[in-house]
Amino acid sequence: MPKFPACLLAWVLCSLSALALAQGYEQLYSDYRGSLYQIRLIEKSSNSKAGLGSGFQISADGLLATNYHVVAQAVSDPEKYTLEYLSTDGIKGTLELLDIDVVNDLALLRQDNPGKEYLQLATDTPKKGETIVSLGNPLDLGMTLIPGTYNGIAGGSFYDRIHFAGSINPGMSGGPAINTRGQVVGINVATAGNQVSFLVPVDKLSTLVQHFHQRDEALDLKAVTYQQLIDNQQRIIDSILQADWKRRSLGDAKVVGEIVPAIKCWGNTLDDDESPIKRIDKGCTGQDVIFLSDEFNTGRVEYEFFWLEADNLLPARFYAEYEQQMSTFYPGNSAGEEDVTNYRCHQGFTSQPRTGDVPVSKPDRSKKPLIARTSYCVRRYKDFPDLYDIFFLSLSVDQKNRALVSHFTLSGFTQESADAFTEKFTSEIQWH
Amino acid sequence: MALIIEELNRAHRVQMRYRMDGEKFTLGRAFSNDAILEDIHADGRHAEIRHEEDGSYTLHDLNSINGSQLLGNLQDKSVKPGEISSHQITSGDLVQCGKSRLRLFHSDAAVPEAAPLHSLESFFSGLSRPLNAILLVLAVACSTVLLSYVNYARTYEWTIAVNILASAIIGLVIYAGAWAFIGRVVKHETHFFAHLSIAAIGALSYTVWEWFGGVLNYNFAIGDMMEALDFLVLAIILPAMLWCACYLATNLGRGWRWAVALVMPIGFLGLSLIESLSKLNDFSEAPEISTELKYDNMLLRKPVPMQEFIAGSPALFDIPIEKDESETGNKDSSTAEDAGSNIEVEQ
Repeated sequence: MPKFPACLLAWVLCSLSALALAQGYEQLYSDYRGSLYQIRLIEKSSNSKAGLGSGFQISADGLLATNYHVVAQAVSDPEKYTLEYLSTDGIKGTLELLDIDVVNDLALLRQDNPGKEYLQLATDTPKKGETIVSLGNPLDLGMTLIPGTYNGIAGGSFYDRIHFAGSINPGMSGGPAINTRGQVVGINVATAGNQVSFLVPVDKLSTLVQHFHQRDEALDLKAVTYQQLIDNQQRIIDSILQADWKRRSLGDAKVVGEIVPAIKCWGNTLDDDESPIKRIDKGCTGQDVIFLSDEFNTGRVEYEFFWLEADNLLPARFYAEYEQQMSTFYPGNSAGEEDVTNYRCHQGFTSQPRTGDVPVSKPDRSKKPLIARTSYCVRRYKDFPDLYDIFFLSLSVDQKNRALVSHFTLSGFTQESADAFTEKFTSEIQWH
Repeated sequence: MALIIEELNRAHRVQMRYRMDGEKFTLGRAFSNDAILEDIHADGRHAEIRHEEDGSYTLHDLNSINGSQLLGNLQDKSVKPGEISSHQITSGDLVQCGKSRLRLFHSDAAVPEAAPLHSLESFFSGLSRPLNAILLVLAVACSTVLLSYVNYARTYEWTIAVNILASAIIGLVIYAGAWAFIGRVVKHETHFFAHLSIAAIGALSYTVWEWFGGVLNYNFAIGDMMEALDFLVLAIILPAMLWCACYLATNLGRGWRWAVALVMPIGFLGLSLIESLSKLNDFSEAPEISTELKYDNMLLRKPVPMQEFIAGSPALFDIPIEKDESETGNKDSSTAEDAGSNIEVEQ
């Protein structure tokens, strides 16, 4: 029975390695628990917790890193909220906000009484599949260690996020993810459920720390946020305009699809027996938004197209159903009255020449220009007056039983970016 | 000269009219009287009227149980009401015997000039013709069914048509029936078909406006103006209908008729208009655009090239930010300082 010992050996080895890893986790936990903190958002008048997150110390002088969304309420309403930290040994103290990065959802704070231990930021990226552990205080249950694997930068977003195969839960936001050497590789930020979670890469934090040290003037949160939003929208619009816009057909029309990998498209066809109109939908959207407050987010690019067609339907009946189906469009981001003005709109009828080869079978009308009822609306950001949400909707009205709808919303873009995008967008949509 | 005695019913309308040519005229419940009162509160011989030698007429109460009262005079408002046992009659006296009311006139008293017929009278008599009324109702029913068919692209079931047809007709009939009933009670005139025609004309005009308003909104995206125009149209249709109804079914005078017809609908419409006006500048998350869509054979405007349309957009971006912007700006900076000083104190 020569095989048996080999099997046994393999089993023993496996158990040992698992044991070693398990011991490694215990070691990691006991080594680094001292630099972990719970960040508490305290409502001043009731003096009780209004929100919880995690944070970690990154320097001997008490610099603490966490997510922007953990501290956002204290930033926007400092008269109502204050920030506290609570160490794993139960030591409490207050926090001062030093710097923020709204695009990468990071905030830098300082403890009033620096702790003894702090974490090192990693300088090298982990290898795909490498084990990393996420630390934080989920649901106020106490400091918790969650092992998982590093899966590289998640594709399909305008914002770099590490795809972490592990479970991050509410309350762990702002906690560190460390490699087995105890260096921070990312900051917990979001989860998609079922072991799919996202971390902000640590180099964003290093940049923020650098930014903080280089800055000499006092922190003007509004100005910092404003600049970050402006730079971010420029980065996005540049990547979109530089990309090659590939056209895809939708009914008899050609529309754009996934311009850049960060924009994902979905499609659907509605063709039930009840409705005489067949509708083909195609919607594309940038996956993430920038969190500014619970009611206000921005930085989204979204566009969608609808193709409607029917056979031998009275035009009035076709248009009645068309109107009903296309009567509600909403902006792609959410914003409240304190954040933005009302939309201001310009509505009119537009004509665009039809290009391309017209098949002989097509009716005469298809040689005529495409007539559409087009609306262009903008609303301005009250705190960031160069930024706007832009809403565009164009509904064709020149065919008896066919219609093409193109719609886009941009949130948090400048007028120049909006102009450039609109011009490109409208010139790319064609009905052959 | 003779005396005219008018016996009024409970609705103050003349029930019986007598002419007194002789020297004496008796009133009472007994059958021997000249005017036999159907009134348990009147005595058998209640009162009598005598033609005096000087030519005047006098009413004498014959010691009746409930007496006779002068209620007033139709021509002379200064006459005070009161109990009478012997009363010299002036033309226009209103007298009560028991519970019966009598109006007394000299036969040579002047009557007021005839009220001219209203210019709309011939119009109303045309509307009262059952055929016209039925045709108008059918026009409403057909247009409603037609519109519902055109505005609904899915399979059009005949039950939908029946439903719409029935509810349109029932609605009109209920309206006409209600006013006919009021007219019957108040004015003893029914005018059911006239009311029906008026309701149908009102419904037709509003249907036409709805269609026309849709075309207007499609072409010119009038948005908030649409609500005002709708108010304007209803503020014409509803008072007109109410005026006609009041004219046909009530005894209201000219002034009151106009007041009721104008104040009631415009009051209610105005309240809702004010409510929507006050919401005009409220924050709305979605852009307010007209979503009306029609085939371009309804298009009255010339489309502009897309490039030109886009080129006109920069003007949109110049949105003024309300004055509270500076306040929040101040607040932000001051609170940032506050936070800073707090920390320093604690350190």
